[in-house]
Amino acid sequence: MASFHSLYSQIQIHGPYDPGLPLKGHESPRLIKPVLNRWIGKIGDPQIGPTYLGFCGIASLICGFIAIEIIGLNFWASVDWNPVAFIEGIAWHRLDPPEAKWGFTPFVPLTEGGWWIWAGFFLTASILLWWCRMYLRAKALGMSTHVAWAFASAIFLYLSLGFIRPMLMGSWHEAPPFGIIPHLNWTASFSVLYGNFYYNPFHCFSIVFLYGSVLLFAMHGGTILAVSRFGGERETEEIVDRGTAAERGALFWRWTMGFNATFESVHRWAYWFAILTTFSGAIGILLTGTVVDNWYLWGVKWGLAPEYPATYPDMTLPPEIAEQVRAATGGTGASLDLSAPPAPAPSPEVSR
Amino acid sequence: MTPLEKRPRSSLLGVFLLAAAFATLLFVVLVPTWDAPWDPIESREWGWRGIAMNTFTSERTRSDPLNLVPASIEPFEARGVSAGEAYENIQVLGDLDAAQFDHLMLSITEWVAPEEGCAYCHNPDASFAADDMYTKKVARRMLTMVRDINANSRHVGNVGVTCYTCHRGQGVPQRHWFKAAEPKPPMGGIVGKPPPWNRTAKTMRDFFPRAPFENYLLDDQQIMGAQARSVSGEVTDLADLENIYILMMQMSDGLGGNCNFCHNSRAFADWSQSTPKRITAWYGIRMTRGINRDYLTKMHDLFPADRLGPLGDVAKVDCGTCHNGMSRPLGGAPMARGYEGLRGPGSGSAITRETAFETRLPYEAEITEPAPTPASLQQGGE
Repeated sequence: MASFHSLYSQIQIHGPYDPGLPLKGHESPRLIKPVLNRWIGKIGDPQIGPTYLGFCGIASLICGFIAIEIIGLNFWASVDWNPVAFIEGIAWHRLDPPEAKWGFTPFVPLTEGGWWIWAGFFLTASILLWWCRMYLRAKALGMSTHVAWAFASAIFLYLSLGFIRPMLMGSWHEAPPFGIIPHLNWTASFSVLYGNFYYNPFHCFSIVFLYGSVLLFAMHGGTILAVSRFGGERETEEIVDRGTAAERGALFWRWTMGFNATFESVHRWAYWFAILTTFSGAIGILLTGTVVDNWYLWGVKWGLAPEYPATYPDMTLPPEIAEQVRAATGGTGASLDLSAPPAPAPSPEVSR
Repeated sequence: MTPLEKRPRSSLLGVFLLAAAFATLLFVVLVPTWDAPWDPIESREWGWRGIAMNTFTSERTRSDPLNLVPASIEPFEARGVSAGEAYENIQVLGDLDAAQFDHLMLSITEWVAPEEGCAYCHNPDASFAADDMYTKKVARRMLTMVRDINANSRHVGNVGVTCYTCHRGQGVPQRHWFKAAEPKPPMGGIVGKPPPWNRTAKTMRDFFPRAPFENYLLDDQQIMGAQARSVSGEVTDLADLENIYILMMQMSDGLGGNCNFCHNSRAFADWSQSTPKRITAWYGIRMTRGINRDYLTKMHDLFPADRLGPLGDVAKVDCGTCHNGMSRPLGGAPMARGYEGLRGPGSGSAITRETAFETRLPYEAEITEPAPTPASLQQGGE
């Protein structure tokens, strides 16, 4: 009996290609004449194509193309159409959302963020049309629509960042910019501005589910590869008709951690962990600035952020900073020494 | 449905993919500068245990040739006459002993123009007293600046600075910045967004936008409101916040330190959780601003056009100009020691303004500690 290799597929089916189900009358033709490729076969099915775009796919690609054109041409125009400068600064180019003064109005002059709104509109349209495609293709194959709903969870996070939260905050300015380094800078400064996302519990959940997804993926993939010598890759059959592969896989996990998922439930575990990664992330985004404006202080209030003993030597704050601290702490000054500064001392070493 | 022909087991695509993977691996290994496993980043914890208040240093930065302390010139025996009496046209150092003056002049040559020698500032065909070279006029202003810093700045403390702190044997310090060109909207203003990064960039870090330097190291914009409900009670605009973030990253890069060198990164704004270094850095930002505004910018008319930036502004400094990747420039070597001429009168300084005063002694003791032991878990002040 053949078994799976850990690195690449050893078993490839090369033969007459599979043309797929017959098309229905209203469906557009399939694209790409199928080919079989041995190298692709090492990481997946050796057959490439045919693919199906249909209305949603074509409309999605057109919208996506428009969005990327708007972003790219804005980048290029910002360097006065200099092609070298365009490539040189590709990581630094940016297309910013409208400034705070524009609020959430959709009518913003193109040069002041209107292009950002249009790019976002077409990108969103493209993504939503692609979602429709995922949904309709699943239906066309008689499948359930699990993949589409998992994708919807990711779209919910995307929309929360770029649309729903700016709407709740009443300002486009809260949304991230387009651009490689700019959106990374935004992420870092956004976290700092709202008091450190580390203390945002939904951010915590999101990370748990993200890392959990990775762990589940490794555990499941490893288990199936390991029992493939007993036919364990026939997972769906083994759900209802347990063979030695399913029994050994289950026993392995009961021996090592006392509990095992089943050949069916492990897929639910992975599915929900993946969905909850982006879903809980989106909840965390939507609460930020709307319900909680400083997650660190929220963490202090609810005991999530403990106080640690001071370890640094006493220090005297610069007077204007001390003033601010005094005002912010209502005159108590917390653990800081706010006494008047001593007079400047001469620098004996320099003057010798 | 026709069966496909049997294909050979290897194909061009496969060979190409393998070659591409190998080329990528080579690029990743060879092109960036990596820290070798036998030359690791040193980590030192100096906050409460287990909260990762670590600072990082590396031997590679310390042994950078630019960070080595140069040999000093032995002082000369006093001549008993002042420089003002011995020489003509002495405007700043007139009261200094002539021997000390000579010593300082020789040292300055070593610090700034070791290859060009005296001729870098003095026209060899004219008298040494002549002010006909722009470099000499600039050097005089720079000398005034150094005297001001050493006498008045709370940032440099007792260590003091010399020309070498920034110049490192080069006429123009390696790390400086110019204003980025103000872009004109192309195509009649179809897009309004300027390129915020500097097209004159020579290194990776030069690419970063100049606005943070202009706002905070030249103009008087305050670095505040970076966290909602924090110290100042104000919240800054997200765009300003990105500038603050970039400035902080540039500082971090210039000092070779991480965020935790000054801040407890769980609450950046909170002074009560910050390390004492944040106070030094606070004065440093004001000192840098003073240097840029009160000295460098005011010398604009002295410089020839080829020394100016794309917008015709003078080269300006940021933290990295002096620090060059070390938390204390040149490892904190007191290079100004012995140079009486480098310390000016100690009042009315433009740099210190009303905010400057000495921090407390325990803290000074803290910063004079030797380099940390690698990977130890020292606990400060427990």
